[in-house]
Amino acid sequence: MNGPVGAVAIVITVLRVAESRQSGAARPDWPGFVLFSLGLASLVYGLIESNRARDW
Amino acid sequence: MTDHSPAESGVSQAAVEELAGAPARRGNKWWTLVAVCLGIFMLLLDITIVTVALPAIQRGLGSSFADLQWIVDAYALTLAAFLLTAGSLSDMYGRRRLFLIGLVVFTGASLLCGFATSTLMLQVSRAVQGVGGAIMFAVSLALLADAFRGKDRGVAFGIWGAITGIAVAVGPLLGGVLTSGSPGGGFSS
Repeated sequence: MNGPVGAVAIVITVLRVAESRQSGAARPDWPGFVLFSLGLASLVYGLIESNRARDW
Repeated sequence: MTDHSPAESGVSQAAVEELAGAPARRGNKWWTLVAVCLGIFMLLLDITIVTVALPAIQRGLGSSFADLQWIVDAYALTLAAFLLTAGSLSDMYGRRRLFLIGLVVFTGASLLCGFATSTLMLQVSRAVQGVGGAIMFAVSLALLADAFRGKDRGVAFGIWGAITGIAVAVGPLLGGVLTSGSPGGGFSS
């Protein structure tokens, strides 16, 4: 279902959407990105695994 | 990949209404709104649509309970994790370019989800889908804010918000339609 809808959206974007950006944009916070991703993944992993422990 | 009609007719109807509301204005920005709304609709739909399909996935792929949780969470996880970074990347390299990348990644990963032959493949595809979704989500409002000024911006943001709500609400319904259409198989989202 996403296939056709996605294809339509891609065509519209290519043909009709104007480009824009912010001059002097700050660089992405890569260490923050890595830490946040690891933290979030660990949290989810912990929550899912906690299901298997009987004490819960 | 079975029953396409409900989603498509729903989306295109909304798109037609959006366009009909602005016959005299320049086409460009309203097409931007349509593209953004299509992307937003898909990416939010995919958070909830999979829930109803989980039993079918479990039967089809023989997944464990934790596997099913990961199928749901893999998407939400990457969606959340990439959001901020995608935003600042789009400021640097251009929102249209990033939005396009997001769309291609998301749509491609969606196809992979549909063809998934194992639980792991589905989970990984869902994670990749989340990356594409995060890019679209982060860039969507920036694109609108840039394309629209004044009163129109309120209209655009209002439609954006309405689509957001509709997509999340319609997800489980569509999931049910898709899975009941082809028993045991049609778990593609």
